[in-house]
Amino acid sequence: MNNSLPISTWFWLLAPNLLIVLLSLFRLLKTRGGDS
Amino acid sequence: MDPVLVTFSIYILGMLLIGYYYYRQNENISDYFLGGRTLNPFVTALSAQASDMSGWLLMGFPGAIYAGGFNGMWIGIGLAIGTYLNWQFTAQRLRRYTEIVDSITIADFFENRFKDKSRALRIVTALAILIFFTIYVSSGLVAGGLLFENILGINYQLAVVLAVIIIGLYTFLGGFLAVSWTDFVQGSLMVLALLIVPIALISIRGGLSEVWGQIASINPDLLNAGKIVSYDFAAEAKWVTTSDNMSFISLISLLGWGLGYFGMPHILVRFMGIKSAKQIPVSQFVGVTWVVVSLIGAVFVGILGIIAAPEALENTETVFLVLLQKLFNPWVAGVFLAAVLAAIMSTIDSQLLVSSSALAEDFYKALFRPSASQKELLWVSRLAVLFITVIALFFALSGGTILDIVAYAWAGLGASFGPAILFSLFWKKTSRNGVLGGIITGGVVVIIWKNFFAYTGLYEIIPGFFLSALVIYLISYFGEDPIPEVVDEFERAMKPLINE
Repeated sequence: MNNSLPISTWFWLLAPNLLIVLLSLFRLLKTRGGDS
Repeated sequence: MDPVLVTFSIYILGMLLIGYYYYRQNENISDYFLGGRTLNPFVTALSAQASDMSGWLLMGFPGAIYAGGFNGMWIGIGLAIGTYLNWQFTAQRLRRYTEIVDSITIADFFENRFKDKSRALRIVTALAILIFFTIYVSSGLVAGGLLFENILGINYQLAVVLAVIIIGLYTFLGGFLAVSWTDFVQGSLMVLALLIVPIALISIRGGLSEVWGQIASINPDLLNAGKIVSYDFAAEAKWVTTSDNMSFISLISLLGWGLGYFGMPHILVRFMGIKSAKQIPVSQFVGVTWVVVSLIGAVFVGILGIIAAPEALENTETVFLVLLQKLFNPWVAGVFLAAVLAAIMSTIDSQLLVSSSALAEDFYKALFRPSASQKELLWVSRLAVLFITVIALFFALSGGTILDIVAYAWAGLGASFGPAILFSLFWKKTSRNGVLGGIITGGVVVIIWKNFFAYTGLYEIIPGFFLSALVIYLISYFGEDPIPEVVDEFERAMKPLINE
C-alpha cells in the first residue's frame, strides 16, 4: 500500500506549476494573435 | 586521461572562447553591462533563468529534498510562482521604464526614476548590492569548491581557488553579451541534466512505484509534503519525522522564497537587456517552462538520491554529484557534471557583473570621476570583478552550506529591492524618500532577523519584505506629490503594455 506517492503531494507538486506554464502560454498566444 | 576531466576541460575552454570573442566586441560600458539591448527572446529567457538558478538548483535544493523529502518542494513551488509573477508583471514594465529614463543598472533606474540629485539612492542601492552579492557569490564559490573537490579529488581550499580563477576570468573578459550567451548554453545543459538524470534513475530503480515503495520503507513521511522529516548523518535511523503537521510559519517561510524575485538585480537586468518589450511573452513562456521542469527535476534528484546513493551522505548537497559519478558512464557523468559547473558559473558571472557595475558606475563614476571615459570605466569594472571575487573567496573559505548562504543573500536582496522595484513600477506616488527608506529597512531587517530572531523559524525575507513595503508606502503617502516630469515618465512607461 505504500507503493504510491500521496495524491496531495502529486497535486501540489504539479498543479501550481502547470497553471503558471498554461497562463504563460495564454499570454503568448494572445500577444501573437493581437499583434499581427 | 579521465573522461570526466576531458569533458570538463572541453566545456571550460568553450566558455572561455565565448568570453574572449565578446571581449573583442565590447566597445563601451553599455555593451559590457547590457549588451546594447540586443538579446533575442530565447537568449533572454534562458539567461535570466540560468542567472537565477545557481549551484543552489543542482546542489543546495536537491540536498534539502534528500534530507527532508517532499516537504522541501514548497521552496520550489514558491520560486516557480515568483518567477511567473516577475515575468508577467515586472519584466515588460521594467524594460520600458528603464529605456524611458535611460538606465542601464538598477541604481541608475532608481536615481533617474525619482530624479534624485543627492546620489543617496544610488549609493544605498550600490551598497546593498555589494553586501548581499558578495555573500551570494561566496555561495557559488562554495558550490564550485565542492564540485572540484569531488571531481578532481583535490582539497577544498585549492578547489575553491580554482573555481575563482575560471569564473573570474571569463566574466572579466566578456561582460554581458558573453554572460548572456554562455548562460544560454549553460541553461540548456542544466535543464537537460535535470530531465535525463531522474528519468534514468527511475528506470534503473525499476519504475516509480518501486521507487515510492523503497522510500516508504525508509520513512513513509518522506513522501508527504505536509510532514517534516529531519536528517542526521550520525544517527542510526537517519530520517526521522519531527512534525506530523507542517506549521503555517514553516509553509510561508518556504513559499516566501518566491518574494525574492522582484528584487534580484542580476535577474532584473536580463529583462532590461531584451531587444523589445514585445518579445517578453515569448521569453516568459520559455523561462517559466524551463524553471518548472528544472525545479521538478531537482526535487526528483533529491528524492531519488535517498535510495540511489550508495551510502548515506555526510554532505547532502553533494547528492547530485554522487549519483552522477556512481551511476553513469564517466563520459556521460562528465557532461552532466559540467552542467553543475554551468549552473554555478552562469549565476556568479551575472552577479559579478552587477556588483562590478555598482562599484564602477555607482561609486567610482558617480562619486569620484564623473568625467571618466567609457574605456576607463570598462577597465574599472573589470578590476571590480577581481576585487569582489577575492572578498567572496574569503567568505567561501569560512564555511556554511550552499542553501544557508543563498537563503541569506536571497532574503537581503529580495527585501531591499523587491518592494522598491514594485512600488517604483506600479505606484505613481512612490517617492524617493520612500524607496530610500524601504531599501534600508529591507536590508537591515533581514540582517537583524537572521542574527537575532532565527529561532522563530520564520524566514527573514518575510518580515524584511513586508516592513520595507510598509515603510515605502507610509513615507510616500505622507510625503509630497511627485513632480510633473516624473508623473509624465511614469505614464509613458505604463501605456501600451501588452496583455497584462
